[in-house]
Amino acid sequence: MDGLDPLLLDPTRLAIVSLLSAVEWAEFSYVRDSAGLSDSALSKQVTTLGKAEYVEVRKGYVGKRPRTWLNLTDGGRRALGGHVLALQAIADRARLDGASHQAEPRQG
Amino acid sequence: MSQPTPEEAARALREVSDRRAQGLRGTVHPRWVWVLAGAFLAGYLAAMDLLPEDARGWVSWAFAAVMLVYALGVRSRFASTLMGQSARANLGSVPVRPRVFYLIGLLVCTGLLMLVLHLLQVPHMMIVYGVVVGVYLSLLGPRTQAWILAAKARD
Repeated sequence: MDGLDPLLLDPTRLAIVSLLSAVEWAEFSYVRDSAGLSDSALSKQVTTLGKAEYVEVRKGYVGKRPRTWLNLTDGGRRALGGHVLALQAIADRARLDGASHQAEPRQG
Repeated sequence: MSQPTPEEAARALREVSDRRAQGLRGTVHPRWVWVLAGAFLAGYLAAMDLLPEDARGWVSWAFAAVMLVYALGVRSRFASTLMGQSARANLGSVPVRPRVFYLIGLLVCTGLLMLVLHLLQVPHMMIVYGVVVGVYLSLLGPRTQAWILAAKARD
């Protein structure tokens, strides 16, 4: 599994990391709603991604309301980049195999 | 876990692309910010048209100060959240080409509008120009920003 990241083989974690890859930071609630997760489900995934140092969590207040922001670390971006390349290679290889089978001349 | 099949890999790649596009949609400024920006610009241009020469310098300094505060504020999580943004686009994630096309288009449109207003000898040209730009920002600002961001999602 060259380049494939075992953590990102999980579709939920892949969704979270992909969402965060387009942004500098995102609010916890935005990621939760976009990924269609509950607070606890997202917290659990963020903890797992945080342990791998893929996601950083920052907490603060805007007015009196507590806010949590998430951002993808450089390590997380590199892991996603490598994972996407590996997925691309798998998809491309299958396409090339299919094309070469079609291009084989018929016998007789 | 086993290696994904080609179908699973293709599905995962589509998921990555869709989620990136979704992430960028959260970075578009809410409409009220665009309406405020349009009104502010229209007000500035009206002031430049109507005020005497010596007052214009002060108005320009005030305009520049507000722009600077906005540019700095929008970079902070606190101010961005106050402005209703759920996420901030990655600085390197917005490609140069659509931004350049947009700027060229904007300059061409501005030039044409100024030329038409001049040829028609419209009085208070700056006010008319400010209103046109203000209405454009209010109505089409979010769509323009989304269009530029979508160019990245298509990459």
